[in-house]
Amino acid sequence: MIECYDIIKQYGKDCKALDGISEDIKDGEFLAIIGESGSGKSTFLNILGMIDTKDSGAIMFDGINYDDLSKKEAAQFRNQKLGYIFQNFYLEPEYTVYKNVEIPLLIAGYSEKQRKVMIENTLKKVQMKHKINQLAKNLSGGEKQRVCIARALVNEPEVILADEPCGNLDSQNTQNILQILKQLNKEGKTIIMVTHSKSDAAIADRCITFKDGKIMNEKTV
Amino acid sequence: MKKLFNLLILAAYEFKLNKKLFAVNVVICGMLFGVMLAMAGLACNIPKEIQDEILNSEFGEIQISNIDYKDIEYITKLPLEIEIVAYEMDWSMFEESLNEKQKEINANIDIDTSLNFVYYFSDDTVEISMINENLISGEKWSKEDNEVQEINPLWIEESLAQSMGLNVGDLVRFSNTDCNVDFYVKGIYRDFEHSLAASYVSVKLYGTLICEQGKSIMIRARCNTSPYTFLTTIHSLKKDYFIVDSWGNNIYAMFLLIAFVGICAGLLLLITLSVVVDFIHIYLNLRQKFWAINKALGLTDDNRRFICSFISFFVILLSYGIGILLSKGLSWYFTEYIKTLFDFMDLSLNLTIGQSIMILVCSLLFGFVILWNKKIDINSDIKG
Repeated sequence: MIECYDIIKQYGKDCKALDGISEDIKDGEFLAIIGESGSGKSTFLNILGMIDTKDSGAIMFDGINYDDLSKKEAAQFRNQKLGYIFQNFYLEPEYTVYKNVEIPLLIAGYSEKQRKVMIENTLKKVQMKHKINQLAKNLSGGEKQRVCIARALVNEPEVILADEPCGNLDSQNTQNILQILKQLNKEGKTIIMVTHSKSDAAIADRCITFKDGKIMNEKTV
Repeated sequence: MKKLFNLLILAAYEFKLNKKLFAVNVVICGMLFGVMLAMAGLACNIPKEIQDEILNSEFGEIQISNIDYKDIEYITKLPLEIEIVAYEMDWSMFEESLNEKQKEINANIDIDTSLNFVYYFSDDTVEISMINENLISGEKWSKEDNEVQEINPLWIEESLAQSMGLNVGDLVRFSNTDCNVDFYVKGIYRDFEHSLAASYVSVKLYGTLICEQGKSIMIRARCNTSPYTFLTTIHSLKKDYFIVDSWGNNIYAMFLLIAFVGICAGLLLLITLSVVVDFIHIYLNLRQKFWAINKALGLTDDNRRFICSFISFFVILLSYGIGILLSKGLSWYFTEYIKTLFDFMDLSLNLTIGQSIMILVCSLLFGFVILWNKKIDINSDIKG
């Protein structure tokens, strides 16, 4: 589904964040990327999610080369094909849960009726429907992350990119979030999760380890 | 279309969320717009009022001894319509200056100041038809004791003088059926506008009569050109010919004030727009992360610009609305003040709808251009 060829990303003259990464990610796969801080795993995820740019190499998504997409097409691609889960949630604290989840649908251009149905269904999936009218700032960390997942899911993207989704959560919430991700994977979503925790990575089908911008180790769980 | 509507919903969310910031923005910019519009009203309307006001107004005076033939020639070339009028042409005074004999002669002549009439040249009976104002008499002239006594000094148009073979100093006798009148050719004028020439002659006569008394005559100006030309012409006249009276000085001071007010209004417009845009930038900086996240969720730069432009347009429109209301009050105050100060009766300082719309469109365009350049970088803004 996603094919990466020799991805290089460099900050400044000496700092290579990614040093020739090549990787194939299959449709429906749950891939965990682990590594120490500064190993380049988040940079790789950001480049896959078109949030960051690469210096060289190529990425193909279902035969579509990222380099061939215009800015507008890239934005549309991010909106429709990719769902992003941030470690810091990045919810708008003064917006309600409904409005936070609604944003990708507003961008995509869905009607109010469609939006309502899609938001309610997605929130039900992450067990947050009862908090639909609450302000995001009043939610706990676990709840915020579930809303963040709902926002990533609401457009029904093919791939979920999760950057340390449990990084700011306690163990109970971590388990809940991992279960949700596992469930989504079972439903057919391709999930790429960056984490520094080996135990979190254990839930994935496959795990690759980054070190100094290179893939050091790959194992199927 | 549906997407645009959805973006407007997002703009509404943002407006509601940041209502306090925008309220402060609207109040401050509304006040600035109000003062600016009132000043623009002053700068736009006062020159017109002045121009209307100075039509047929007397704004200067000149000592009679200062004006000469060349001066009149100069004045006729000015871009202003200027009439030199011997206002209080005092015929009784003129008559008093005649001796008894001339009075009798004068009494026998049907001097009609409004109609054309005919005199006959006594020697070769050339019929001369002329307008009465061109025939001015009144100074003493006598042949007795070889002393020159001017009986009826005459100013005559150049071509006519040539056709009659007359020169300055010649004696002529005009006759009609009732009487003969002797004239002394005092001057020959060129082919000027008749009224000006007549005025000139009147002026000369009047000056001859009253110069010793140190009196002056009034100059009437009609401003049929731009205020700028009017100003520069007045300045030139003031420098070369006459002392502008208090009314003229008022006009001059008013124009300077208007120029100052116009510059202030322009500066205020720029300040207002920059405050509007600064507030939008404050908003954007506060919400940089929000827009960066939305960009990560698929919002394009154009979408963001559309939303921010819509918000800023809304803020500008609200500010402008408040500004219009405020400017009405200020304009009323300015109107009353200026009416009292400059004695303008029918003064209105409100901007026209066209002028108001033009300023609004300028404001919107300014806001749009400034906002268009604002950049949001997803990666650095989210991380930063």
